[in-house]
Amino acid sequence: MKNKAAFVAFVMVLSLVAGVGIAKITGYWKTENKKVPMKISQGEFEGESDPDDIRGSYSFADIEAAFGIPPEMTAAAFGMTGDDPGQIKAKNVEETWGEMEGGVEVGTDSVKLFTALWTGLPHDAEETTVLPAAAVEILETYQRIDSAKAAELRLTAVALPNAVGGEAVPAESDQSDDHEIPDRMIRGFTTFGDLKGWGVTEEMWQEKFGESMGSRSTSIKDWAEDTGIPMSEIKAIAQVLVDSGA
Amino acid sequence: MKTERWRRPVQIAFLVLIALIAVNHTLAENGNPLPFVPKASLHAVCPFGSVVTIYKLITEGSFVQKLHESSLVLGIAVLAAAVLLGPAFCGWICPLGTVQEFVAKAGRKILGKRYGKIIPKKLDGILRYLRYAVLIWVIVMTAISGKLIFSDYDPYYALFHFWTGEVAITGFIALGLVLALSLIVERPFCRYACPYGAFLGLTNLFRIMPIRRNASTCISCSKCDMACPMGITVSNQSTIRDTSCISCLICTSDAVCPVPDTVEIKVVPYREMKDEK
Repeated sequence: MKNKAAFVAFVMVLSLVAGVGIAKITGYWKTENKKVPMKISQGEFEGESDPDDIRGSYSFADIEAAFGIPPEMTAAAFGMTGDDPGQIKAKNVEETWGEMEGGVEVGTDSVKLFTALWTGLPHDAEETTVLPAAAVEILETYQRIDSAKAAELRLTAVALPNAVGGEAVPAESDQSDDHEIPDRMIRGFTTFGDLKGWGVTEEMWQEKFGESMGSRSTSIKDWAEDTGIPMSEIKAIAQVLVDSGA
Repeated sequence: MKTERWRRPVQIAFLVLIALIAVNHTLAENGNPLPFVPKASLHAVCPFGSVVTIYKLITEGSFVQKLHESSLVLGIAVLAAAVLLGPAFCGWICPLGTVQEFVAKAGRKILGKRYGKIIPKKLDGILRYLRYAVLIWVIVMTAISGKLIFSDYDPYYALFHFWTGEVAITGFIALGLVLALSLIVERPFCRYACPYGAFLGLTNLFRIMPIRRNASTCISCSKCDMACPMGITVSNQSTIRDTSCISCLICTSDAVCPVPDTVEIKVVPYREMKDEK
Protein backbone atom coordinates (compact mmCIF):
# COMPACT_ATOMS: atom_id res chain seq x y z
CA MET A 1 0.00 0.00 0.00
CA LYS A 2 1.84 3.05 -1.28
CA ASN A 3 -0.54 5.91 -0.60
CA LYS A 4 -1.44 5.70 3.07
CA ALA A 5 -3.27 9.04 3.09
CA ALA A 6 -5.60 7.87 0.34
CA PHE A 7 -6.16 4.67 2.30
CA VAL A 8 -7.11 6.55 5.47
CA ALA A 9 -9.38 8.90 3.52
CA PHE A 10 -11.04 5.92 1.87
CA VAL A 11 -11.55 4.02 5.14
CA MET A 12 -12.99 7.04 6.96
CA VAL A 13 -15.43 7.97 4.22
CA LEU A 14 -16.33 4.33 3.58
CA SER A 15 -17.01 3.60 7.26
CA LEU A 16 -19.44 6.52 7.50
CA VAL A 17 -21.11 5.94 4.14
CA ALA A 18 -21.39 2.19 4.75
CA GLY A 19 -22.68 2.73 8.28
CA VAL A 20 -25.38 5.15 7.14
CA GLY A 21 -26.18 3.01 4.06
CA ILE A 22 -26.63 -0.19 6.03
CA ALA A 23 -28.72 1.63 8.65
CA LYS A 24 -30.93 3.09 5.92
CA ILE A 25 -31.40 -0.26 4.21
CA THR A 26 -32.34 -1.94 7.49
CA GLY A 27 -34.63 0.94 8.45
CA TYR A 28 -32.58 1.81 11.55
CA TRP A 29 -31.47 5.25 10.32
CA LYS A 30 -33.59 7.79 12.17
CA THR A 31 -32.63 11.42 12.63
CA GLU A 32 -35.76 12.49 14.45
CA ASN A 33 -38.03 10.80 16.88
CA LYS A 34 -41.49 9.59 16.04
CA LYS A 35 -43.09 12.18 18.31
CA VAL A 36 -44.71 9.35 20.18
CA PRO A 37 -43.96 9.32 23.89
CA MET A 38 -42.89 6.11 25.55
CA LYS A 39 -45.42 4.03 27.39
CA ILE A 40 -45.37 3.80 31.16
CA SER A 41 -43.79 0.43 31.80
CA GLN A 42 -45.11 -0.48 35.23
CA GLY A 43 -47.57 0.32 37.95
CA GLU A 44 -51.15 1.46 37.85
CA PHE A 45 -50.77 3.29 34.55
CA GLU A 46 -48.77 0.64 32.70
CA GLY A 47 -49.28 0.90 28.95
CA GLU A 48 -50.41 4.54 29.01
CA SER A 49 -48.39 7.21 27.19
CA ASP A 50 -45.94 8.87 29.56
CA PRO A 51 -46.28 12.67 29.89
CA ASP A 52 -42.74 12.65 31.26
CA ASP A 53 -41.50 11.74 27.78
CA ILE A 54 -42.97 14.77 26.01
CA ARG A 55 -40.07 16.52 24.25
CA GLY A 56 -39.68 20.16 23.35
CA SER A 57 -40.03 19.19 19.68
CA TYR A 58 -43.53 17.74 20.21
CA SER A 59 -46.25 19.84 18.67
CA PHE A 60 -49.61 20.28 20.36
CA ALA A 61 -50.98 18.03 17.60
CA ASP A 62 -48.47 15.33 18.66
CA ILE A 63 -49.69 15.76 22.23
CA GLU A 64 -53.29 15.43 21.07
CA ALA A 65 -52.45 12.24 19.22
CA ALA A 66 -50.85 10.73 22.31
CA PHE A 67 -53.02 12.14 25.08
CA GLY A 68 -56.22 13.32 23.45
CA ILE A 69 -55.90 16.97 24.50
CA PRO A 70 -57.22 19.28 21.75
CA PRO A 71 -54.43 21.62 20.58
CA GLU A 72 -56.71 24.62 21.05
CA MET A 73 -57.02 23.70 24.72
CA THR A 74 -53.26 23.41 25.23
CA ALA A 75 -52.70 26.63 23.32
CA ALA A 76 -55.24 28.47 25.45
CA ALA A 77 -53.73 27.05 28.64
CA PHE A 78 -50.32 28.45 27.74
CA GLY A 79 -51.43 31.72 26.19
CA MET A 80 -50.29 30.72 22.73
CA THR A 81 -52.15 31.54 19.56
CA GLY A 82 -51.39 30.98 15.91
CA ASP A 83 -53.05 30.06 12.66
CA ASP A 84 -52.72 26.39 13.51
CA PRO A 85 -52.47 25.61 17.25
CA GLY A 86 -51.57 22.04 16.34
CA GLN A 87 -48.24 23.24 14.94
CA ILE A 88 -47.16 25.02 18.14
CA LYS A 89 -44.39 23.06 19.83
CA ALA A 90 -43.80 22.54 23.52
CA LYS A 91 -40.46 24.30 23.16
CA ASN A 92 -42.29 27.36 21.78
CA VAL A 93 -43.90 27.69 25.19
CA GLU A 94 -40.45 27.70 26.76
CA GLU A 95 -39.13 30.17 24.19
CA THR A 96 -42.12 32.47 24.69
CA TRP A 97 -42.33 32.41 28.48
CA GLY A 98 -39.38 30.50 29.94
CA GLU A 99 -37.95 31.73 33.22
CA MET A 100 -40.18 34.21 34.98
CA GLU A 101 -40.05 36.47 37.97
CA GLY A 102 -39.37 34.60 41.20
CA GLY A 103 -37.18 32.00 39.52
CA VAL A 104 -40.15 29.93 38.32
CA GLU A 105 -40.44 28.61 34.78
CA VAL A 106 -43.23 28.07 32.26
CA GLY A 107 -41.77 25.75 29.65
CA THR A 108 -41.78 22.22 28.32
CA ASP A 109 -42.06 20.77 31.81
CA SER A 110 -45.18 22.88 32.37
CA VAL A 111 -46.68 21.30 29.25
CA LYS A 112 -45.85 17.88 30.69
CA LEU A 113 -47.48 18.84 33.98
CA PHE A 114 -50.59 20.17 32.25
CA THR A 115 -50.84 16.98 30.20
CA ALA A 116 -50.41 14.81 33.28
CA LEU A 117 -53.11 16.69 35.18
CA TRP A 118 -55.47 16.61 32.18
CA THR A 119 -55.09 12.87 31.74
CA GLY A 120 -54.69 11.88 35.38
CA LEU A 121 -51.31 10.36 34.60
CA PRO A 122 -48.24 10.78 36.83
CA HIS A 123 -45.47 13.33 36.30
CA ASP A 124 -42.90 14.62 38.79
CA ALA A 125 -42.53 18.24 37.79
CA GLU A 126 -39.34 20.11 38.56
CA GLU A 127 -39.44 22.37 41.60
CA THR A 128 -39.35 25.54 39.55
CA THR A 129 -42.07 24.44 37.12
CA VAL A 130 -45.36 26.29 37.36
CA LEU A 131 -48.54 26.52 35.30
CA PRO A 132 -50.11 29.66 33.90
CA ALA A 133 -53.25 30.73 35.75
CA ALA A 134 -55.24 30.05 32.57
CA ALA A 135 -54.08 26.43 32.56
CA VAL A 136 -55.31 25.94 36.12
CA GLU A 137 -58.65 27.51 35.17
CA ILE A 138 -59.02 25.15 32.22
CA LEU A 139 -58.10 22.10 34.26
CA GLU A 140 -60.63 22.98 36.94
CA THR A 141 -63.35 24.08 34.52
CA TYR A 142 -63.09 20.84 32.61
CA GLN A 143 -63.07 18.92 35.89
CA ARG A 144 -59.63 17.45 35.37
CA ILE A 145 -58.63 18.47 38.88
CA ASP A 146 -60.70 19.07 41.98
CA SER A 147 -60.99 22.45 43.66
CA ALA A 148 -58.43 21.53 46.33
CA LYS A 149 -55.82 20.73 43.70
CA ALA A 150 -56.74 23.88 41.78
CA ALA A 151 -56.25 25.95 44.92
CA GLU A 152 -52.87 24.33 45.48
CA LEU A 153 -51.79 25.04 41.91
CA ARG A 154 -53.01 28.65 42.13
CA LEU A 155 -50.51 29.29 44.91
CA THR A 156 -47.69 29.10 42.36
CA ALA A 157 -49.52 29.77 39.08
CA VAL A 158 -48.44 32.83 37.12
CA ALA A 159 -50.47 35.29 35.15
CA LEU A 160 -48.79 35.46 31.77
CA PRO A 161 -47.77 38.91 30.64
CA ASN A 162 -48.80 40.11 27.22
CA ALA A 163 -46.43 38.68 24.64
CA VAL A 164 -44.52 41.29 22.67
CA GLY A 165 -44.23 40.58 18.96
CA GLY A 166 -43.63 37.07 17.60
CA GLU A 167 -46.30 34.63 16.66
CA ALA A 168 -47.34 33.73 20.16
CA VAL A 169 -49.52 36.09 22.11
CA PRO A 170 -51.70 35.43 25.09
CA ALA A 171 -54.90 33.72 24.09
CA GLU A 172 -58.14 35.56 24.60
CA SER A 173 -59.31 32.89 26.97
CA ASP A 174 -56.54 34.08 29.27
CA GLN A 175 -58.21 37.35 29.73
CA SER A 176 -61.68 36.00 30.23
CA ASP A 177 -63.18 35.05 33.55
CA ASP A 178 -66.44 33.65 32.25
CA HIS A 179 -65.40 30.18 31.09
CA GLU A 180 -68.23 28.00 29.94
CA ILE A 181 -68.94 25.06 32.15
CA PRO A 182 -68.40 21.91 30.07
CA ASP A 183 -71.64 20.29 29.00
CA ARG A 184 -70.36 16.73 28.92
CA MET A 185 -71.10 16.72 25.24
CA ILE A 186 -69.48 13.82 23.38
CA ARG A 187 -67.15 15.03 20.65
CA GLY A 188 -64.53 13.35 18.50
CA PHE A 189 -61.70 14.39 20.79
CA THR A 190 -63.47 13.16 23.92
CA THR A 191 -61.20 10.56 25.49
CA PHE A 192 -61.98 7.46 27.49
CA GLY A 193 -60.44 9.34 30.41
CA ASP A 194 -63.24 11.88 29.96
CA LEU A 195 -65.88 9.16 29.81
CA LYS A 196 -64.58 7.46 32.95
CA GLY A 197 -64.54 10.81 34.71
CA TRP A 198 -68.16 11.28 33.70
CA GLY A 199 -69.16 7.97 35.23
CA VAL A 200 -69.04 5.59 32.27
CA THR A 201 -67.69 2.23 33.40
CA GLU A 202 -66.01 -0.57 31.48
CA GLU A 203 -69.04 -2.82 32.04
CA MET A 204 -71.49 -0.22 30.71
CA TRP A 205 -69.33 0.28 27.64
CA GLN A 206 -68.86 -3.43 26.92
CA GLU A 207 -72.55 -4.07 27.30
CA LYS A 208 -73.36 -1.49 24.64
CA PHE A 209 -70.52 -2.04 22.17
CA GLY A 210 -69.17 -5.53 22.90
CA GLU A 211 -65.67 -4.07 22.94
CA SER A 212 -63.34 -2.90 25.72
CA MET A 213 -62.85 0.80 26.30
CA GLY A 214 -59.65 2.32 24.98
CA SER A 215 -56.88 3.68 27.16
CA ARG A 216 -57.58 6.88 29.10
CA SER A 217 -55.81 8.97 26.47
CA THR A 218 -57.48 7.37 23.45
CA SER A 219 -60.09 9.57 21.82
CA ILE A 220 -63.37 8.01 20.82
CA LYS A 221 -62.66 9.12 17.25
CA ASP A 222 -59.52 6.97 17.20
CA TRP A 223 -61.41 4.14 18.87
CA ALA A 224 -64.12 4.40 16.21
CA GLU A 225 -61.52 4.12 13.47
CA ASP A 226 -59.89 1.12 15.17
CA THR A 227 -63.14 -0.76 15.73
CA GLY A 228 -64.98 0.27 12.59
CA ILE A 229 -68.05 1.27 14.60
CA PRO A 230 -69.64 4.41 13.10
CA MET A 231 -68.75 7.55 15.00
CA SER A 232 -72.35 8.75 14.94
CA GLU A 233 -73.46 5.56 16.66
CA ILE A 234 -70.75 5.82 19.30
CA LYS A 235 -71.53 9.47 19.98
CA ALA A 236 -75.21 8.81 20.41
CA ILE A 237 -74.84 5.80 22.70
CA ALA A 238 -71.96 7.32 24.68
CA GLN A 239 -74.02 10.45 25.25
CA VAL A 240 -76.82 8.35 26.70
CA LEU A 241 -74.34 6.57 28.97
CA VAL A 242 -72.86 9.86 30.13
CA ASP A 243 -76.26 11.42 30.73
CA SER A 244 -77.49 8.38 32.64
CA GLY A 245 -74.36 8.33 34.80
CA ALA A 246 -74.41 12.04 35.52
CA MET B 1 2.68 16.63 0.67
CA LYS B 2 0.62 13.63 -0.29
CA THR B 3 -1.11 13.53 3.07
CA GLU B 4 -2.49 17.04 2.96
CA ARG B 5 -3.62 16.60 -0.65
CA TRP B 6 -6.01 13.97 0.64
CA ARG B 7 -6.74 15.21 4.14
CA ARG B 8 -7.68 18.81 3.35
CA PRO B 9 -10.39 18.02 0.78
CA VAL B 10 -11.93 15.46 3.15
CA GLN B 11 -11.87 17.96 6.03
CA ILE B 12 -13.37 20.74 3.94
CA ALA B 13 -16.02 18.45 2.48
CA PHE B 14 -17.22 17.45 5.96
CA LEU B 15 -17.02 21.03 7.24
CA VAL B 16 -19.25 22.17 4.38
CA LEU B 17 -21.60 19.20 4.81
CA ILE B 18 -22.09 19.82 8.54
CA ALA B 19 -22.55 23.57 8.00
CA LEU B 20 -25.18 22.85 5.34
CA ILE B 21 -27.00 20.39 7.58
CA ALA B 22 -27.01 22.87 10.47
CA VAL B 23 -28.34 25.69 8.29
CA ASN B 24 -30.87 23.43 6.61
CA HIS B 25 -32.23 22.29 9.96
CA THR B 26 -33.07 25.90 10.76
CA LEU B 27 -34.56 26.40 7.29
CA ALA B 28 -36.62 23.22 7.67
CA GLU B 29 -38.00 24.41 11.01
CA ASN B 30 -39.13 27.55 9.20
CA GLY B 31 -40.68 25.48 6.44
CA ASN B 32 -38.12 26.26 3.71
CA PRO B 33 -35.59 23.41 3.60
CA LEU B 34 -32.97 23.15 0.88
CA PRO B 35 -33.50 20.23 -1.50
CA PHE B 36 -31.01 17.33 -1.37
CA VAL B 37 -29.65 18.37 2.04
CA PRO B 38 -30.57 16.36 5.16
CA LYS B 39 -32.95 18.14 7.51
CA ALA B 40 -31.48 16.41 10.54
CA SER B 41 -30.40 18.33 13.60
CA LEU B 42 -26.72 18.61 14.43
CA HIS B 43 -27.27 16.35 17.44
CA ALA B 44 -28.64 13.66 15.14
CA VAL B 45 -25.44 13.54 13.07
CA CYS B 46 -22.94 13.79 15.93
CA PRO B 47 -21.35 10.44 16.75
CA PHE B 48 -20.50 11.61 20.28
CA GLY B 49 -24.20 11.20 21.01
CA SER B 50 -23.64 7.45 21.00
CA VAL B 51 -21.26 7.84 23.96
CA VAL B 52 -23.36 10.17 26.09
CA THR B 53 -26.55 8.19 25.60
CA ILE B 54 -24.97 4.84 26.39
CA TYR B 55 -26.27 4.72 29.99
CA LYS B 56 -29.85 5.49 28.99
CA LEU B 57 -29.65 3.12 26.05
CA ILE B 58 -28.54 0.24 28.25
CA THR B 59 -30.83 0.91 31.20
CA GLU B 60 -33.97 2.14 29.44
CA GLY B 61 -33.51 1.16 25.81
CA SER B 62 -34.06 4.75 24.68
CA PHE B 63 -32.01 7.78 23.73
CA VAL B 64 -31.23 10.95 25.62
CA GLN B 65 -33.44 13.82 24.47
CA LYS B 66 -32.51 15.16 21.01
CA LEU B 67 -30.47 12.05 20.16
CA HIS B 68 -31.61 9.37 17.77
CA GLU B 69 -30.60 6.06 16.21
CA SER B 70 -28.42 7.99 13.72
CA SER B 71 -26.03 9.02 16.51
CA LEU B 72 -25.56 5.39 17.47
CA VAL B 73 -24.97 4.34 13.86
CA LEU B 74 -22.35 7.05 13.32
CA GLY B 75 -20.75 6.32 16.68
CA ILE B 76 -20.34 2.64 15.81
CA ALA B 77 -18.92 3.49 12.35
CA VAL B 78 -16.40 5.93 13.83
CA LEU B 79 -15.43 3.50 16.58
CA ALA B 80 -14.91 0.69 14.06
CA ALA B 81 -12.64 2.94 11.99
CA ALA B 82 -10.81 3.98 15.18
CA VAL B 83 -10.05 0.39 16.13
CA LEU B 84 -8.25 0.13 12.79
CA LEU B 85 -6.76 3.61 12.39
CA GLY B 86 -7.08 5.35 15.75
CA PRO B 87 -8.98 8.64 16.10
CA ALA B 88 -8.74 9.53 12.40
CA PHE B 89 -12.21 11.02 12.83
CA CYS B 90 -10.56 13.84 14.81
CA GLY B 91 -7.80 14.42 12.28
CA TRP B 92 -9.82 13.97 9.11
CA ILE B 93 -13.53 14.58 9.73
CA CYS B 94 -14.33 16.70 12.80
CA PRO B 95 -15.24 20.22 11.56
CA LEU B 96 -14.20 21.88 14.83
CA GLY B 97 -10.74 20.36 14.43
CA THR B 98 -10.62 21.75 10.90
CA VAL B 99 -11.64 25.22 12.05
CA GLN B 100 -8.98 25.15 14.78
CA GLU B 101 -6.39 24.23 12.15
CA PHE B 102 -7.45 27.18 9.99
CA VAL B 103 -7.14 29.57 12.94
CA ALA B 104 -3.76 28.03 13.76
CA LYS B 105 -2.47 29.15 10.35
CA ALA B 106 -3.16 32.74 11.40
CA GLY B 107 -1.52 32.07 14.76
CA ARG B 108 1.63 30.81 13.08
CA LYS B 109 1.82 33.93 10.97
CA ILE B 110 1.44 36.13 14.03
CA LEU B 111 3.75 34.27 16.43
CA GLY B 112 6.20 32.69 14.01
CA LYS B 113 8.51 30.22 15.78
CA ARG B 114 6.95 30.99 19.15
CA TYR B 115 3.70 29.34 17.99
CA GLY B 116 2.88 26.31 20.12
CA LYS B 117 5.63 27.09 22.61
CA ILE B 118 3.85 29.60 24.83
CA ILE B 119 2.21 26.99 27.04
CA PRO B 120 4.98 25.29 29.08
CA LYS B 121 5.42 21.62 28.22
CA LYS B 122 4.80 20.53 31.81
CA LEU B 123 1.54 22.46 32.05
CA ASP B 124 0.54 21.14 28.61
CA GLY B 125 1.10 17.60 29.88
CA ILE B 126 -1.05 18.16 32.96
CA LEU B 127 -3.84 19.92 31.03
CA ARG B 128 -4.16 16.96 28.69
CA TYR B 129 -5.76 14.95 31.50
CA LEU B 130 -8.54 17.52 31.68
CA ARG B 131 -10.42 16.04 28.74
CA TYR B 132 -10.85 12.75 30.61
CA ALA B 133 -12.41 14.65 33.50
CA VAL B 134 -14.70 16.35 30.97
CA LEU B 135 -15.60 12.97 29.44
CA ILE B 136 -16.49 11.45 32.81
CA TRP B 137 -18.44 14.55 33.85
CA VAL B 138 -20.43 14.58 30.60
CA ILE B 139 -21.32 10.89 30.77
CA VAL B 140 -22.29 10.99 34.47
CA MET B 141 -24.27 14.23 34.27
CA THR B 142 -26.07 13.14 31.10
CA ALA B 143 -26.98 9.85 32.78
CA ILE B 144 -28.30 11.69 35.84
CA SER B 145 -30.18 14.44 34.04
CA GLY B 146 -31.25 12.61 30.88
CA LYS B 147 -30.39 15.80 28.99
CA LEU B 148 -27.55 16.88 26.73
CA ILE B 149 -25.89 19.00 29.37
CA PHE B 150 -22.67 19.42 27.37
CA SER B 151 -24.38 21.38 24.60
CA ASP B 152 -24.38 24.45 26.88
CA TYR B 153 -20.57 24.33 26.97
CA ASP B 154 -19.87 22.80 23.58
CA PRO B 155 -17.93 25.07 21.19
CA TYR B 156 -18.87 22.78 18.29
CA TYR B 157 -22.57 23.29 19.00
CA ALA B 158 -22.02 27.05 19.40
CA LEU B 159 -20.11 27.25 16.10
CA PHE B 160 -22.90 25.65 14.08
CA HIS B 161 -25.85 27.13 15.99
CA PHE B 162 -24.76 30.69 16.70
CA TRP B 163 -27.65 32.08 14.63
CA THR B 164 -30.41 30.08 16.30
CA GLY B 165 -30.67 31.78 19.69
CA GLU B 166 -30.36 28.32 21.28
CA VAL B 167 -26.70 28.65 22.29
CA ALA B 168 -26.02 29.33 25.96
CA ILE B 169 -23.62 32.15 26.82
CA THR B 170 -21.25 29.49 28.19
CA GLY B 171 -21.18 27.90 24.73
CA PHE B 172 -20.15 31.21 23.14
CA ILE B 173 -17.48 31.68 25.81
CA ALA B 174 -16.15 28.17 25.14
CA LEU B 175 -16.07 28.84 21.38
CA GLY B 176 -14.34 32.18 21.87
CA LEU B 177 -11.75 30.59 24.15
CA VAL B 178 -11.06 27.77 21.70
CA LEU B 179 -10.62 30.14 18.76
CA ALA B 180 -8.43 32.50 20.81
CA LEU B 181 -6.28 29.68 22.15
CA SER B 182 -5.91 28.30 18.62
CA LEU B 183 -3.87 31.41 17.92
CA ILE B 184 -1.18 30.25 20.36
CA VAL B 185 -1.44 26.45 20.35
CA GLU B 186 -2.73 23.98 17.78
CA ARG B 187 -6.07 22.24 18.44
CA PRO B 188 -6.51 23.43 22.05
CA PHE B 189 -9.99 21.93 22.37
CA CYS B 190 -8.79 18.56 21.08
CA ARG B 191 -5.80 18.59 23.45
CA TYR B 192 -7.44 19.74 26.65
CA ALA B 193 -11.20 19.55 26.63
CA CYS B 194 -12.78 17.39 23.93
CA PRO B 195 -14.62 14.48 25.58
CA TYR B 196 -15.08 12.61 22.31
CA GLY B 197 -11.39 12.98 21.50
CA ALA B 198 -10.64 11.59 24.95
CA PHE B 199 -12.87 8.60 24.25
CA LEU B 200 -11.56 7.90 20.75
CA GLY B 201 -7.97 8.58 21.90
CA LEU B 202 -8.12 5.42 23.98
CA THR B 203 -8.14 3.39 20.76
CA ASN B 204 -4.53 4.49 20.23
CA LEU B 205 -3.61 2.01 22.94
CA PHE B 206 -4.70 -0.98 20.85
CA ARG B 207 -5.38 0.21 17.28
CA ILE B 208 -4.49 -2.25 14.57
CA MET B 209 -2.63 0.28 12.42
CA PRO B 210 -0.64 2.68 14.61
CA ILE B 211 1.94 5.23 13.45
CA ARG B 212 5.34 3.51 13.55
CA ARG B 213 8.86 4.91 13.36
CA ASN B 214 11.63 2.82 11.87
CA ALA B 215 14.53 3.58 14.22
CA SER B 216 17.11 2.07 11.86
CA THR B 217 16.42 4.61 9.10
CA CYS B 218 15.40 7.58 11.27
CA ILE B 219 17.93 10.44 11.12
CA SER B 220 16.52 12.09 14.29
CA CYS B 221 15.82 15.37 12.56
CA SER B 222 12.72 15.83 14.79
CA LYS B 223 10.67 17.20 11.91
CA CYS B 224 7.89 14.82 12.92
CA ASP B 225 7.86 16.27 16.45
CA MET B 226 7.68 19.83 15.19
CA ALA B 227 4.90 19.06 12.74
CA CYS B 228 2.61 17.08 15.05
CA PRO B 229 -0.49 19.22 15.69
CA MET B 230 -1.06 17.45 18.99
CA GLY B 231 2.50 18.08 20.22
CA ILE B 232 3.47 14.43 20.45
CA THR B 233 7.18 13.57 20.48
CA VAL B 234 7.31 11.00 17.72
CA SER B 235 11.09 10.81 17.31
CA ASN B 236 11.79 8.79 20.45
CA GLN B 237 9.13 6.11 20.00
CA SER B 238 8.94 3.10 17.76
CA THR B 239 5.12 2.81 17.90
CA ILE B 240 2.97 5.83 18.75
CA ARG B 241 0.55 4.77 21.45
CA ASP B 242 0.00 8.29 22.77
CA THR B 243 -3.74 8.78 23.40
CA SER B 244 -3.51 12.29 21.90
CA CYS B 245 -2.62 11.03 18.39
CA ILE B 246 -5.34 11.95 15.86
CA SER B 247 -3.96 9.96 12.90
CA CYS B 248 -3.58 13.04 10.73
CA LEU B 249 -0.46 11.43 9.18
CA ILE B 250 1.36 14.79 9.10
CA CYS B 251 4.39 13.19 10.80
CA THR B 252 4.73 10.38 8.26
CA SER B 253 7.12 9.92 5.37
CA ASP B 254 4.25 10.85 3.07
CA ALA B 255 4.36 14.31 4.64
CA VAL B 256 7.17 15.88 6.72
CA CYS B 257 9.55 12.97 7.39
CA PRO B 258 12.37 13.33 4.85
CA VAL B 259 13.33 9.64 4.82
CA PRO B 260 11.05 7.28 2.85
CA ASP B 261 9.33 4.46 4.74
CA THR B 262 10.51 5.70 8.13
CA VAL B 263 7.40 7.08 9.84
CA GLU B 264 4.34 5.24 8.58
CA ILE B 265 0.91 4.07 9.52
CA LYS B 266 1.01 0.30 9.32
CA VAL B 267 -0.35 -2.88 10.79
CA VAL B 268 1.33 -4.20 13.90
CA PRO B 269 1.43 -7.99 13.89
CA TYR B 270 -0.26 -9.42 16.99
CA ARG B 271 3.06 -10.87 18.27
CA GLU B 272 4.71 -7.46 18.15
CA MET B 273 1.71 -5.87 19.81
CA LYS B 274 2.17 -8.23 22.74
CA ASP B 275 5.88 -7.35 22.86
CA GLU B 276 4.98 -3.66 23.07
CA LYS B 277 3.44 -4.41 26.41
